[in-house]
Amino acid sequence: MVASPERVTLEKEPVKREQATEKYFPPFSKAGGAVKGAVVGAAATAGSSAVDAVKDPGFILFIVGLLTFIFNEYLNNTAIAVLIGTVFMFFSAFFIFKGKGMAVTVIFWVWYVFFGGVTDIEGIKYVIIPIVLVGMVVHGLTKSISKQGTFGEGAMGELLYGAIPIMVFFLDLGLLNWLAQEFNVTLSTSSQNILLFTPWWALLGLFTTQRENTFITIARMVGVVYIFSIVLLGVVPEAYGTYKSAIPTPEEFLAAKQEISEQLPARENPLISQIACIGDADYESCIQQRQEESELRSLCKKNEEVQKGVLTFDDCLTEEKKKKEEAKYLVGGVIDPTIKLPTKFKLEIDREFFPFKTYLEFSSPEYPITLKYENTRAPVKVDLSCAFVKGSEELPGKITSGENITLPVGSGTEGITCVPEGTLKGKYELRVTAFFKDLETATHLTRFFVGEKDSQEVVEIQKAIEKTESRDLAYFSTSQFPADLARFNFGFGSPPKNPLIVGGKPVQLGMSILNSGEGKLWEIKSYGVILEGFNAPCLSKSNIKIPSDEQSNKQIIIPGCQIMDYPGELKNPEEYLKRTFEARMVYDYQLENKFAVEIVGKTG
Amino acid sequence: MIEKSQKKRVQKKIFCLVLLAMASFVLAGCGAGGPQDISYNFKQGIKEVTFSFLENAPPKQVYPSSNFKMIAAVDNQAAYDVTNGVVKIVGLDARYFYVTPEEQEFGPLLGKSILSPAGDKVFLEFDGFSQALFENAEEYVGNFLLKATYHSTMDFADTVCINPTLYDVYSAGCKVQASKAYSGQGAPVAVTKLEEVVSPDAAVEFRIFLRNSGRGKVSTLTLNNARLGGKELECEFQRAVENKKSLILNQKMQEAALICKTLLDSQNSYETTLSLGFSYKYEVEQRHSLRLVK
Repeated sequence: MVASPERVTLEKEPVKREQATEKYFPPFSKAGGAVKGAVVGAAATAGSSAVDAVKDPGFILFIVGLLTFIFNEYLNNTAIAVLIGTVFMFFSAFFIFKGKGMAVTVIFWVWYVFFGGVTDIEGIKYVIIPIVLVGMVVHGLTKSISKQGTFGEGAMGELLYGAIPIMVFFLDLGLLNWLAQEFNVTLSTSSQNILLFTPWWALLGLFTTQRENTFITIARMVGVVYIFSIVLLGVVPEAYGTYKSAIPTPEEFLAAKQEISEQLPARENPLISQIACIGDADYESCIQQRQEESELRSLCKKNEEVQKGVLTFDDCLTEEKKKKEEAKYLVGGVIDPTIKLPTKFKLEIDREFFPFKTYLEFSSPEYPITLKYENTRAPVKVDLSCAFVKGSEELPGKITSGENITLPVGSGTEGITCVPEGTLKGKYELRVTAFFKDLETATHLTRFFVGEKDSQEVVEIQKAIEKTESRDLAYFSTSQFPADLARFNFGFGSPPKNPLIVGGKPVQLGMSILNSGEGKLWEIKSYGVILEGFNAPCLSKSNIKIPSDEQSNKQIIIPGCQIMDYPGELKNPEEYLKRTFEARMVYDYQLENKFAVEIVGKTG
Repeated sequence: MIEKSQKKRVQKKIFCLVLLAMASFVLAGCGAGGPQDISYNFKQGIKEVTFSFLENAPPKQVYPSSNFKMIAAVDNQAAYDVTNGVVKIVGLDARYFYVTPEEQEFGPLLGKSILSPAGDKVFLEFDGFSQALFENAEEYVGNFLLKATYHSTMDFADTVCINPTLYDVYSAGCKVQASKAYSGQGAPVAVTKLEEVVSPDAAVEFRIFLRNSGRGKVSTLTLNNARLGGKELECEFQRAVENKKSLILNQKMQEAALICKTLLDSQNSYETTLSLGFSYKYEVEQRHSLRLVK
């Protein structure tokens, strides 16, 4: 027979809310007491709501987690990050999940921090798993003996409630960042937002609060709105999939987080963009524009030339906007991420010393311009010229420092001086032109030769390739090139963008040239696709003069052809053969820059 | 009152926590060196041939236009000999890395036994040469697969009860176990379950369930012999097409069911040995990388 529970008698009667308000917040006067009492009561309710929330461990974690997230940039230290993560992890395991997953959490922490997270399969099978199982059994028994629940609840609860703090621990350290970096995943906008703007511990605290009151409800709504606003497009990064034998250390997580943060331009928090664009007629465009502008502003803040004062912030913004526009014209082909030193040229002036206004009374006009070059891979011949333009009038200038120069290999600057031929007065546009001769660029393209296989085998081989390369086969569909002024893009297959060459049938070769600089592609001296042993009539050509009205075009299509045959060794491999092919192009390029100048005549 | 019981609960929690933490440290301290096989019965559990590269062969970073070695260690940890082994390097781009030979044979490798308790190991050397990086590239990562195939065998034996009078009211003799589970026979392919069905017409049917529990794939599975005591058993694989004693498995379906039937000679119950011998072709794929740096 089950004994009835003992009745507990309270020594005092519970105080009613109105009496409490009266007792603890006595009205100032009896007159208007009802109104004041209502105000005080409302204040007491809000105040007590806030106090109630503070007693809630979930809410404490939310506040502290949010604060550490906000001040994250000052805490860039592995030891502190691990300590904070550990404290939060045990706090949530003990206080939020009431110790339900404590054993698993403790075991994980000992294994990861003390034993370095060794992933020896034998160790996991014969040490880790039995420990976890023992923990689950003990917890299950404890729960059932203490009559707080069933054995199953205790055992499964151990696993589930232990896994949650552990997962948040990894996410906070930088799991997503590490995954994105390790598997070379191209991040979508919403993925970047998740990486940069998610306060993981704060979110855990917010959604595990036990109490329900006004303060917490509002905070939760704000949290949900925040999550939706930063993950607006809702696209998840590509699957990562591949088994890696080593679990990264906290240092590796944080290094990945740091590197990703440095790579990604700091953008405005999407929530702020959304709030700022409320009321705008074109809401979507407004948000996109604000995001893009903040991205460009952060790029220009980090720009070395802006920091040195060589380039103004506004000029930098204009340049970056242009680059973004031009990127839209990149049809096919991607910039090779492993080439971090592309060849670049620039005509610029030193704003500190450039004579924007010249007084003939004191000096004759002489204009110093700098030709900056970066990472040239071979000596480059340059023809320089300058002219003074006023409306339809064009007056030639003379390059006194040498009209034909050769730039050496590497990076550096070349000083150019332009003087007008004749006497000029008034406002002119100084146009400086650099004509680069025989610039060379190269491109590479990867293809997989499969041989004669049936469709099922082709599917399996495709999966094997994607497993080996840890990326989608589409990554190899286009060629890769350095970020040079002009770029040669090509592809071959059936169709040209298909990286899998199946069987020995003829395939198509497609080619195009991209003008990625700010100048004009004058002439293609020669191009050649290096496909040794391949039978195709259009692999190379020389002396292609670009019509003047097309010289500024971003893309020039070159007629392709069919590759009728290719080397026997590639035709029927047992598995598949991966091969990289190169193409080279030699071209002439014209770069121009204009500067507003004024020449003031002599008085009297 | 309420405060006291709350205090007790907290104390209990802390006590449990401390107990769990102590238990974890003790257990983590023991067995940290990994398990040691002290059993003489090697034909148990899931064991297979392991493939790995030696430390620094290949090196973590390779420089352009340099030679390097790739040494693959093939270690037979299974309880059966391995024959017709082939190791291939698949997927390296000859524009950056040239490896020779691209495939090598190995075997026979002895399985673990009393005479060879550590199994058998062989080292396969591949000579590599790196080419130049593309233009100004900082690095190139060449991913490839270490692909291995080999043939091996697996034996299963267990004592079964044959009791034709199973459905009698009073049944003396051994007890028929309708279903038995197994944890492996020292190979990657394992018999996981055995079901015995005795029919009233003095026939017995054994349903043997096999599964690939290793890290690779079984491509073909063949029944070499099946005996019940001294008598040959008629068996066939479910889903087998032409040869009923051989099954081709695909990547998704790595399980098989073998049905063996026989008529019973005796009306008495008795225990006898059911023994099966299998051979299989196994494929293993491992992903590796070579990093070419400036």
